[in-house]
This record gives sequence, structure tokens and C-alpha cells, in this order.
Amino acid sequence: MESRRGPRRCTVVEAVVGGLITGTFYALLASGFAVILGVTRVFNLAHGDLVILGAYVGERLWHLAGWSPILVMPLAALPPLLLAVASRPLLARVGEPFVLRSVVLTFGASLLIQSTLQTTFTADFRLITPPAWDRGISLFGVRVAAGRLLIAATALIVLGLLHLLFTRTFFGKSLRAVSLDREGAALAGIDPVRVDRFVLGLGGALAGAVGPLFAAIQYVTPSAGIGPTLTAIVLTIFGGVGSIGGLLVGGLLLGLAESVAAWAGGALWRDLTGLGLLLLVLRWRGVGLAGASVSAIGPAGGRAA
Amino acid sequence: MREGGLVGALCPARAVFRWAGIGGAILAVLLPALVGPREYLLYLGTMALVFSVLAQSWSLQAQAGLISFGHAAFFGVGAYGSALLSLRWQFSPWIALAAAALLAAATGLAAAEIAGDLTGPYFSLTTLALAEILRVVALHWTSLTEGAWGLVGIPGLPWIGARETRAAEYYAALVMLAAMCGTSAWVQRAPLGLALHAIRQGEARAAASGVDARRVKRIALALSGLFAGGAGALHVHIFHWVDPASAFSLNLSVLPLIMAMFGGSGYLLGPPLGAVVLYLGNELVFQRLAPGGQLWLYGGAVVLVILALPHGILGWIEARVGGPRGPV
Repeated sequence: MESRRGPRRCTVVEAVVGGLITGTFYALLASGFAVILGVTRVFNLAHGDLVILGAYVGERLWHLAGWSPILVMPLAALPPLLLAVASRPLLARVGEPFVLRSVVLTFGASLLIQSTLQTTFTADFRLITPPAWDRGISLFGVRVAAGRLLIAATALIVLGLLHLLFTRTFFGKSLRAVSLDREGAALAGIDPVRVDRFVLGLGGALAGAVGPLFAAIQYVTPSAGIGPTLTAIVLTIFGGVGSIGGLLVGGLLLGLAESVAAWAGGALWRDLTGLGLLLLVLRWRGVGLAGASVSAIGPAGGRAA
Repeated sequence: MREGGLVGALCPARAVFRWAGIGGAILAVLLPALVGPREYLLYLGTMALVFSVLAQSWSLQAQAGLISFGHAAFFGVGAYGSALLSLRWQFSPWIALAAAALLAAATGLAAAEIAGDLTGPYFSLTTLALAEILRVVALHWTSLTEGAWGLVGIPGLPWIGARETRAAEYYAALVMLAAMCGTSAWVQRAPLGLALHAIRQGEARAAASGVDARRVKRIALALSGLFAGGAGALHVHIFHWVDPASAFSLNLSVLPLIMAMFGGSGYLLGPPLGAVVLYLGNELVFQRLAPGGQLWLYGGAVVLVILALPHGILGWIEARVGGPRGPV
């Protein structure tokens, strides 16, 4: 969640605008996690590691071939997509309590991905820095780096497409049907296994696609996945698994809070703000969306009634 | 070692595990004599015991179905507490160790307060956030902790008339593990153990039967924190060095979870067994095959446990040996 800080201290307005831009990015970062949790009840702690996997793909392609982080997003989405789809038969074997066991299993997957990244890409810090992205653009009288605006715009477009997918297409509606009532959806002729496979692929692809943008914002290391995972969890619990709008609002609030905290008190307070908000959101909505409804795959945790 | 007797009385896997426990305890006591002057092996043994304590402490509140992702918080508080008390305020390392363990127990109480009624992944994430917050504070409170540089020159534990410090450290860790196992055995036998199991099976039902869930969780987390903190304090006096990245490392939260579940967290001997097998397996075998790849081993162990060994190694053995089923 660290962003590069300029040589001079920015104004509070710049901090606010920067926070809102980062917040839009956070919403996209969380979308893959939220989609998977919402439909399959898998609490994917390897989410951040899939983001980092995509980030490495993007960084390599940018470094070796000079491709723009935006253009390589589909390619970066591919390995996490395949990984997530391939994990479905394993997830189907996870016993009760399902959510808790899926947490532990994906924790193990996270370690495996990290060590694979470590051996493949070494522990060096990587960053995508297209020269044109540093150019300042004036937005409401505030100078913003062009790259960050591009990232925010990309995030908004992808989130908008997701929103349309969930609300306007038949397939999106069938996803929501499975999310609400797995057996009922199956009775209505929707194949839950097919839906699971699609959702895992979609969530994995979203995580991977965010990667190159992530690498353009902050340094990438094999163990950097924990940050995006925690961010995704905060936003998903805050905003809800079924609501792209909720993710966006949560992302904007988190980005804003972190940015202003960093502006006022430095890196310590930015980190503490993010973690403190996680604790607050857990206490406030610990009953959670995964906890409130019980699916056929497994009853969820959450606050005891 | 009295440990064997307790194991025999309480371990659900009956005779096989009882004799294995007694044998393991005897072997553990004799180990320094067996390895002789090979200090490295003794050091590995000591670390395996420290991780055993940590894994056993982790499984204490796990009896209530509370999966902690943040035991590094307790370990780190114990490590930093003991380091600061002995280094800055010149307390005897023994007193510092005890005080730091109590401080970690208080951290356990605080964790219970912060987590409140949360269960499942929400409890896990609360503990994870707590450990991260402590790491960030240790990293930035440079006037107290020297930040990322860490604290160096932490005194070792003073021994009365002992010259072989490695062996002394080993026995200190062994005594701590014995105390931890004794506590676990007592908890399993005491009403507290029943209350923990009742909570795991359903907090609402437990509450309806008169179990004060909050109080039980507070006690379990305080006890768990006490021993995890003790392990951290012992670790710091063996290494003479501590920094935020290692003391509050996510690995220290992950390893006890993996070790306990791998061995079988429902069994008294499960967590130490998992710790010894995985730690020594990593140091003696896996590191030679794949240097630096310990996450492969630990990640693979978790995946294996969830998919194929739901009750850990001991559960698997029990299913093969037969007899009354299931961990307590």
C-alpha cells in the first residue's frame, strides 16, 4: 500500500486527490477477491500473491519488450486465471467448516506461490516506470501524474464492465443466483460447477490483471502479496461481495484515509490507518456477507448468533 | 519426565501414542548426551523445542475453533519485552523472560477484547492485523526499539555453574515445553477444556448451556500468549538479537498453525510432533535439496493437511491403528 512520495511535501488537496485515485485502484484490486468469495465462499488468502504474479508478468514484459502496463493486463491475467480454475477440483475436496478451511488452504497456496516467485524472479525489488507516466496533468487545479490518472481510468472502466456483467447479462444474474442460493439455482437449471469454474477464473484474471498497475504504483517483491490481500479483505467486508459500488465507496474511503494519514503523520500512520480500519470493519461487519448466508458448499464463519 | 504419564492419561490415541510419548520424552531428555559435542545438532534441537512450544500454544485456543493468524504478536511481544527489560533496564534475563511472558499474556487478553465475538476467518484476520500493527509500531518506535536495525547484544540466560550453555538452553526450552504440555493436558481435563470444545461446536449452544464464551476465550488466549511470549523471550536470549521483521514475522504466525495442524492439533502430542518433524525435516533434509525453499515445504504441508490429513499425522495414524476415534 506504499506509494512513491515526491521530493517535496504535497498539499492536503493533492493528498486528497491522490487518495481518491489510489482508492479507485484499491476497488479494482479487491474485485477479484470479492467475486470469488461471493459465489464460491472461498476466502482466498492467495489473492495478493496472484496480483504479484500478474505484476511480475507485467514487469517482465515492460522491461524486456517495453509494453505498456495497460496493454499487458490481459497477458498478466492469464497465469492466475489458469491457476484459479485448476484449483477448483481441490477446493471441492475441502471439508467443513468450509470457509475456515479454505482460508488455511489458500494460505498454503500463498506460500507455494511466493516460493515459486522467489525462485523464478529472485527477491529483487521491481517497479514499472514508463517515462511518459510521470508527466503531470492538471486536474481541478491539482497536478497529478499522468500514469496514476490512467490507472484510475482503467480501474473505473473495468469496474464498470463488471457491474454491467453482474446486472445486465443473463450469465451475471445466474452468478448472483448461485451466490444467493446454490441449490435453488441448481433447481432452476444453473450448473453450479460451471459457475464456480467461471467465477474462479474471473477472480483470478482480475487479480492478475491488476498486477501490472500494482507494479506501476509500488515496488514488487515475492512476499508483497500480503498488502493487496489485506486491502481486498477490508474493502470486501466493508462494501459487500455482491456490490461493485460498495467496493468503490470502500476503496475511495480507504485511499482517502491512508493518503491523509500519510500526509499528516508519515508512513507509520498510513500503515496503522489501513490496519486499524481492518480491525474496525471486522468488528463492525464481522457477521460479514460470507457469514450471513450459508451455502451448500459450506456454512460460513462470522459472528456467532 | 512426567510428561509421558500425563500423555498416557489424556491422549485419546491410547497405548501407541502413550508409549511413543514416553519414548519421545526420554529421547528428548537424553539428546544432549547423545549428540555430544556437536553443538549445531543441539541448537537444532533447541529450536525444534521452541517451535514446539509455539505450536502447542497455538493449538490451545484452536480447541475452541479459533484459528489464529497472529501468534507472531505474542512471540514478538515476548521477544521485545525480554530484550528491552534485560538490555535497557538491566533486569536479570530470567526475570525479564518471566515478565515478558506475562506481557504477552496481557497481549492475549487484549486480543480477546479486540476480537470480541468474532469467529472463523474474522477472528483469524483480527489476530493477523494485530500482529501487523505491533510490527509497524516496533518498526517506527525507533527511540525504544532502534527500528529496523533491531536490538543487538541482548544478554544470554545466566546459568548457575553450567558451562555448556547450548545444553542449558536446550534444557530451558525442554522445561518450557514440558510446562506447556502440562498446561495443555490440564486444560483438556479441566472444565475449561470442555468449554473450549463446546464453543467450537457452536458458541450459541455453548452460551445456552451456561458457558461464558468471552471469559473462556480470554483465559485461552492469555494462556496461549503466555507460552508463545515465553518462546519468543527464550529465542531472543539464545540469539542475542531481535528486529521487527523477524520477531513479528508473518512466518511466526504461519509456522505454529502449520506445525500444529500437520501433527494434529486435536492431540496433545500433535503440535510438538508437527513442529519437530517439519522443523528438523526442513533444516536437515529439505534445505539440502532446495536451499531457501522452506516455504515449499510448509505450503505443501498445509495443502496436504487440508486435502488429505484433516486430523494431522496423529489422526491419520489413529485411523490406521484403530480404536476409539477422533481427537478430543
